[in-house]
Amino acid sequence: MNPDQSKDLVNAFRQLQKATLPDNETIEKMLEPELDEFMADTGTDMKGLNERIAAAKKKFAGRYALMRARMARRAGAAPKPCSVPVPSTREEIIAYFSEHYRHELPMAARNFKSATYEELRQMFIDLHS
Amino acid sequence: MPPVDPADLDRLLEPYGGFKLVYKKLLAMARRKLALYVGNSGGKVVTRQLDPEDAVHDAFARLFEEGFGLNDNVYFVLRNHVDNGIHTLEKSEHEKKTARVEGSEKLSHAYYREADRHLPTAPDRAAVADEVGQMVEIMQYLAANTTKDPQVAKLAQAIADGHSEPAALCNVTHMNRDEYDAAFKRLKRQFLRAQLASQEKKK
Repeated sequence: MNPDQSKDLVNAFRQLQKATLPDNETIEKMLEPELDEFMADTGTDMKGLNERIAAAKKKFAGRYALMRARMARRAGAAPKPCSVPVPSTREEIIAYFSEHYRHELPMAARNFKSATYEELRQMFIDLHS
Repeated sequence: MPPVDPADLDRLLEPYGGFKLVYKKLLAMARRKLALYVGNSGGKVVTRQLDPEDAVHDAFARLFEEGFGLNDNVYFVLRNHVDNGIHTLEKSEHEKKTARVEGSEKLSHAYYREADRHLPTAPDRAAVADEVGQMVEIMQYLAANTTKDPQVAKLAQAIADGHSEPAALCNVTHMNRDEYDAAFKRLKRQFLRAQLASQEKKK
């Protein structure tokens, strides 16, 4: 076979491949029997496919439950242990922030002098955990 | 920990048709993507060994490992995971073959300035030649198996000539729409069968 013939056959192959393989958008619109037909045509072992899907569903239901548990734990997570002792009074925390942070605190925290002890304590813990 | 209920997955994927339909669609998409890999160049030889069901399982595993946001389109995320999983496998094989000079990025860059990295190596050229051979073989198999079905043979020729619209194909092949639909279905089967036969031989 000469190179030109090979080139023609390769081009023909590409055209046929493009025409006979549905694109993802077509697969998207397929109904279940059409999907089954396409998969059978492309060599999927259809025997026991539904059982394999049921087994996968059971397996991934466990993973999904774990993921949700993980997310719930994160949402309500207790603060990490603070790396330095938390000052016991409001004034001590203000003095600490004034001395060590000043303008380095985020804008939202700049007005810390009007905050309550609990708010300042949480801010202190957040900065040190 | 919440109790494990497989129906939760149906609830999660309800907007997209439920778990079973989503699984089948993802499987069909993985099948389609893998069917496009012909030959042994790049990472295709490894990618072709991948079972599409494994690609779908990996996508679900990644979804639940990485998690997703409340407003995420879960089906779209899964589709991306399937696509990326296959692509990464192919790329990883290709990366393995990429030369590194003494393991150093800097030296490698110096090397690539001297040598054309886009120039295929001898083994790569052999793999591409083999790929062309495989396509030719598939076309020959198809020709041999459609001799008894002139409509399919005519349709294959018309598509190979560059016609793609059904109306144009009906016109060129002198078939009415019903004949065309039936012949196209037979051609599709024959072509996929030819590809599968060739791929089985390669494994």
